[in-house]
Amino acid sequence: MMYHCVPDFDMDEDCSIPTSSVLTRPKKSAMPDQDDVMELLWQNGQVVLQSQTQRTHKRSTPAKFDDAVIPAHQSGSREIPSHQQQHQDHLFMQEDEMTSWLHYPLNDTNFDSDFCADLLYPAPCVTTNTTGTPPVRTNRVSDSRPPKTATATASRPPIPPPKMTESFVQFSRPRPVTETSGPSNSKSLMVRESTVVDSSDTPAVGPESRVSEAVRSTDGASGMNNVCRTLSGAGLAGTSSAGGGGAGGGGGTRDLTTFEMTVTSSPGGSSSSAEPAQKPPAEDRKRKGREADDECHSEDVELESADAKKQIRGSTSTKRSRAAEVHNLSERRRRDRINEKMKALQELIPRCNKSDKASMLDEAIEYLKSLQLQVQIIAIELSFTSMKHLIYAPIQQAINAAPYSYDEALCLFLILTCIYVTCQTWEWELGWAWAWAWAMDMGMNRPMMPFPNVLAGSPLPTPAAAAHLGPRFPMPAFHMPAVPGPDPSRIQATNQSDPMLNSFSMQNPNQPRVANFVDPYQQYLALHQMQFPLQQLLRSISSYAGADQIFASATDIINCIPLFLFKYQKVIKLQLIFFQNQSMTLPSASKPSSSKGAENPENHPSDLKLTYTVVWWVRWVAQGME
Amino acid sequence: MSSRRSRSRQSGVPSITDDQISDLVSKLQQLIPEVRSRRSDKVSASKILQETCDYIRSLHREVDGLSDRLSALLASTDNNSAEAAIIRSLLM
Repeated sequence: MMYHCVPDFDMDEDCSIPTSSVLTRPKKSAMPDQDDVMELLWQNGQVVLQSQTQRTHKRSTPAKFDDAVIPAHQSGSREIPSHQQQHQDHLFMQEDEMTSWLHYPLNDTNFDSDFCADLLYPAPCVTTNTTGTPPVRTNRVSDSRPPKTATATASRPPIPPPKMTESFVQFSRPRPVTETSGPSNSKSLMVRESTVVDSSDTPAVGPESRVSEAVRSTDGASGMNNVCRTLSGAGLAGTSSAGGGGAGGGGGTRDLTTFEMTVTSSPGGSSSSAEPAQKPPAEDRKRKGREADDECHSEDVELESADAKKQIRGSTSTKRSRAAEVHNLSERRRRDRINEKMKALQELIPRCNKSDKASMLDEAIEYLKSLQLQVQIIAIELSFTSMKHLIYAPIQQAINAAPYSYDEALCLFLILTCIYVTCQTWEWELGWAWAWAWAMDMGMNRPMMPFPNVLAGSPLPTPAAAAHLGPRFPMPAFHMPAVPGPDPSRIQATNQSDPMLNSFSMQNPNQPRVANFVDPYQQYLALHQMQFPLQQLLRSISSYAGADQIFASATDIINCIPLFLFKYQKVIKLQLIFFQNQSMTLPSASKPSSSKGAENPENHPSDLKLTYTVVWWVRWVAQGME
Repeated sequence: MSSRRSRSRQSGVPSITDDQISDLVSKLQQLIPEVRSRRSDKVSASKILQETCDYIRSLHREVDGLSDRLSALLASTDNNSAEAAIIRSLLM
């Protein structure tokens, strides 16, 4: 019975917990939708009003759009709202996976690769529900809410789309498109872009289209740069200045995309969903059409050369020169195409001042990697934030939670705290320190634990004390409610009990660090009053940590934490390196041997809160499992 | 196709080798999920570049979307000041 409740918790939370799991690039769905977006198209030398679907069908035939300029920009522009829509939907769908790893044992061996790999290399995903996506998602949220209220958060608000609408009202750009009502807005947006792009039909006019797009970007940038940057920077702030810099750096181009995303999200209704459904197939067909165009063009070239050869039989030199001419022509066209794309790519990369292709490509590769990491990291932050947000309320209700095994709570908390703190501060040692501190708190019997008090600004522990353990680092002071039934007031009081930490000797982990709460002996008693299935928790934790083995005990998990952090460290260092190259302000780089300074004071309370929150959550889960 | 054969010769800058360019392009190909799955020698540099641009844009959107969600979360929890403080510390 006990563990059955956990799946219930899962299912209730499924729809509501944004997760950091598979963040994938939305795959273009193949489903055209009811709404047919009318566009102004430049076709056969005339401006034609056509539905988008019609146009894409036409593209499959050898078309006049034989150049990459138009498809590049059209697909880019149209892709944006659809991707955003699908992206939102897709992110929302991932909550199931995230919740399950939190509460449920997963496939141990594969999880790590899936977890990390998917985040690093998002695989195309299929958007299952493209029609009326926002309403569907809202419905899911609202459906899940009532059952959840019974068990969990009573106060979790609906998922962003309505909020985003409000908060994005200010995002009105100097662009002509200003209305925020659905179909007309999106359509006009598309129409405008199609018109702009289509006006540059031929390769000779290619640069114009890019200029126009750049102009649009600039307009948007100037108009909403600050707002966008603030939000993006804020959102990325978990990655501290690196993320913020990235957001600021990419703000120019990103404003364009953000605004377009807003445009589609603001309707919050079927209109925006209609477009995304259309755009992906349109874009797919466009791309295929473009490829076909390339091939057709090349084939035409070959045909021409063949004809040329036939016509001038016997004149070998002329034939050769003609063939060479044709060849050069096609070659030149290829080069032009590729050069244009290189320029477009260069525009996307922030602060790319490289003129030669190789270094520009290098920069593009690095930037791409860093972007992937950034997405991953933000997703993790989001998941943790959501988790806190979700469980804070019910946890306060679960004050008198049933006893739970401290082994389990310890394990889970260790992992989560490590990850959280690490993501927040990029201080791997710090995250580990938290885990260690908590372990010590709970009497894990590890001697010589260094517990410097960061808040008091005290220096590192004595070398002797720290010699036993690798990491040396400052640690925020905190106390864990160790016993069932602590009251929040005592928790709060503990926040300021820095002097207690200072006075602790290193040799006594079981000493009165938690004296504020309860007699340590009572606390120790609580350790074994558990009914939580240890093995399952351990399994889920180990799967999340990416370890191949199943942890036999909490101690094993503690031992594996550094490994887990190291894995993430590799992933995240790449981003740091990239931004280093970009000469951006970095968050404090993480080095295993360095002892980083204290984090901002404001971090401590939040870390503490998360600490408490996690513990409470574990208790609450345990309570539900009785 | 003749044009494809000479793809590597497109760069007009003498200091950069063609191998370098194609190597970089293949690296890009590996990074981009959609192109990677279809890996073959026939994937043109033009397509890879195009995919790169689109992929970067989509990543931008994802980042922005996630950031917005974080911000929205923060906005939605303003009623609870403690929570808001926590989340704000996340964003700053």
